[in-house]
Amino acid sequence: MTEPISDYRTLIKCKHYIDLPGESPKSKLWPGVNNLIILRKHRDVVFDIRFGNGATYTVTTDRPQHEYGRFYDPKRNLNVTKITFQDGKPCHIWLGRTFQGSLLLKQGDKVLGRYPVRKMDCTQVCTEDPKDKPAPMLIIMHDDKDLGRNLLALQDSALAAQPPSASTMAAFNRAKSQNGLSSSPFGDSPQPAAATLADTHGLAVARNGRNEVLQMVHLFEVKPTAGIDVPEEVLQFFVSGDAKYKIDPIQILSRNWILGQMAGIGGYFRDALSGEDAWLRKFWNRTFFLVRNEGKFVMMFATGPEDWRILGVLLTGYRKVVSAGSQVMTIAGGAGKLGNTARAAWGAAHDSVMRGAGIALAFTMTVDAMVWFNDYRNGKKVFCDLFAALGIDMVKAGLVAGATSVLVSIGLTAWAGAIGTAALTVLTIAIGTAVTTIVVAYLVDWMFDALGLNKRITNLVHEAGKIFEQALPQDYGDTYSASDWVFVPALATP
Amino acid sequence: MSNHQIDGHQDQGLKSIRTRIDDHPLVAGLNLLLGGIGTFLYYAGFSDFRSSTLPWKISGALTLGTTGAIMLQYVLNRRRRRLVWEGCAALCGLMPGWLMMGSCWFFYFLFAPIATWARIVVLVPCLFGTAYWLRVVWKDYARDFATLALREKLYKFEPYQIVYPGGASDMAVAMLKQRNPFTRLHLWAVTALGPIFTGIAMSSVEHFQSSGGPHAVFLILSFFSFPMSLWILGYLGVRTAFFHVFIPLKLERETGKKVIFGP
Repeated sequence: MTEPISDYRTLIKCKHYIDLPGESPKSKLWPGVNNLIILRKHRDVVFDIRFGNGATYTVTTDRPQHEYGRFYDPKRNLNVTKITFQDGKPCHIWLGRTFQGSLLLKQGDKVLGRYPVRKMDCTQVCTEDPKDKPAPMLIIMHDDKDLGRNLLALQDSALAAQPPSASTMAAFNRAKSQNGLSSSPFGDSPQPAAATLADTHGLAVARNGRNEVLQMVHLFEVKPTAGIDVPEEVLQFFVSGDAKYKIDPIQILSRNWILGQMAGIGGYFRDALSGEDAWLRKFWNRTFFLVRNEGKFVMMFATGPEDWRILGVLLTGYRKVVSAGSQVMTIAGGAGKLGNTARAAWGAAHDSVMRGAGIALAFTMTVDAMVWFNDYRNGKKVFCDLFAALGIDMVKAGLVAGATSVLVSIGLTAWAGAIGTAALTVLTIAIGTAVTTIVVAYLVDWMFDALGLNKRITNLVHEAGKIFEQALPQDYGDTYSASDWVFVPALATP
Repeated sequence: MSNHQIDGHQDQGLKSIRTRIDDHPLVAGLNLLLGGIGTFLYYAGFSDFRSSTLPWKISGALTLGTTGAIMLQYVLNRRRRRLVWEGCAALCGLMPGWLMMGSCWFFYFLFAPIATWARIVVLVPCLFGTAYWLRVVWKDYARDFATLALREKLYKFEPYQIVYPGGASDMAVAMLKQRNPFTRLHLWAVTALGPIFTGIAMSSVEHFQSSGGPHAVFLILSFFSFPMSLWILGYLGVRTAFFHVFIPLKLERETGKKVIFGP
């Protein structure tokens, strides 16, 4: 059979696009014309729920009557508004790029999650081109009891979190108002940059019969880009930074470590000096990027000119590096329900990320990433390890800040109970807090190591990655392995 | 109900008065936690050093011992409210806090696998310094006690007993002039490095482990914990020992009356 579009007998060709198999074209089919119906590429959405309770989940849409409110079930080959699946079995659906409304994930009548798909796709770079692929989404909720138990044992209160809706809304607003990199030192990027979305669904633990969310991972993919040129020296600077400094007598300080310290000092003073509208706060509203292209990687921040002045040394190398075609990953720490006792600790944990300590955390993450890049390029690690490492840093910082604030108040309470009034100067409290922070941070780190939590979280992300790969259809090709990645610490959302 | 009121009248309000001693079970519990953290620190740290296990055993024993002493005092002394015993319990109550926040320099330089000369060079001056500091603070209190006529101001002499009103008198003592054990270096260190302590220890396992133990963590802790130790021992410890133990004993010997802890 001759390919219709190249059939010389056809004088007039008319293309009609549909977004899902089985749809009828929205445009009119003209008689006497070679009407070509073209299926544009769909958006893949995978739900992977494992609470181990054998439950049945339903995915529906909130606008079943709407012409763009339906989705496609590749298993049944049907255009549907509802699909059910079992706990532990990934559910893969196709969405048209014009899909309207939200996907609702339900267990019985209970809504577990609401996913306004188009808003969540902050990449927004899918054009009308039928070959363009909308960003896929992977929604993972796992109940890893072992992991959960260990984390709970570490510090119950530090698992506290904010109500889901607030962070989701904040992230939506942020995503909507994101101007890409137009105000960043990366300058005249022609396309809007990838923003990202914080959500509160993900890795969950069950406590007292309720599911609580610890951490979530969202993946967004867009078309791969070309032309990224990472300055080798900059990369080397970070990569080699993890080597131990020789001049240090006991060989304990590495350059990355010192960099982290510098960042901490800068963040602290800025924060302390300028109050609510401080540079750090604004800084945190911006995005951290992790970009990979053709085997080269770079970590960068989307920053404004004011940040650039301060971090200029670090950023100059990255000016032209960022591009719109990026995969986006969100790592959110902690969400769900919490008891009253945990709220204060959560506040402290949140503050540690929001305020002075946060920038040190960010630098720990960037440095982790850089070191990881090197390993990756040498074929030592897969991408999951990085995100696991970053996720761990978020959890740890929360634990440390939460536990420290609790301990300092316990110490003061105990002293007040034992000897009544004490002339505590601010400096005394500051130094006491500093000592406590070091003690707690060291112990948390030690426990992560002792309990093997790093390995567990890494395994979890590994598993998630596997699901994604299996669930994705062939037409992704190697876009995943050959395209860019971006990650954003979602806790940074104020 | 009526019994209770009669009791209160008969004992001239002694039993119904709520003092700080009634909070001592809470103090004991919190101390168990603080001392536990300190013990855990030494357990973790000295596991990493792969050296002596004595530090955490000492720390744990001190925690349990002091907690037990506080509870014993609570049981035996809650009604009698002898100031001396209350003072001893308060001193015990300071111990776990010291273990967590002020003891690091001591345990590190005494037990960590470091050169002997380093031990001596650090520990000897620090211990002598601590002793000198405690003496200085003690002398300050003794001088203030004499020159400011604190004997009559802090202790209420009643016909059959002497009452030390805890709230008011401790407040007055806290107002006395204090020396500052922290140097300018500490001020700057804590101001500048404050926010990144989390970062320090978060990378500690990787960065510090490989060099034979968490030396850096403990060195930093020592730097801050030594003045913290001086402050805790001096302005919490010596103060309690002087006003809650030493002076009451002296007064009891002089007057033959019991010194009672009041609210």
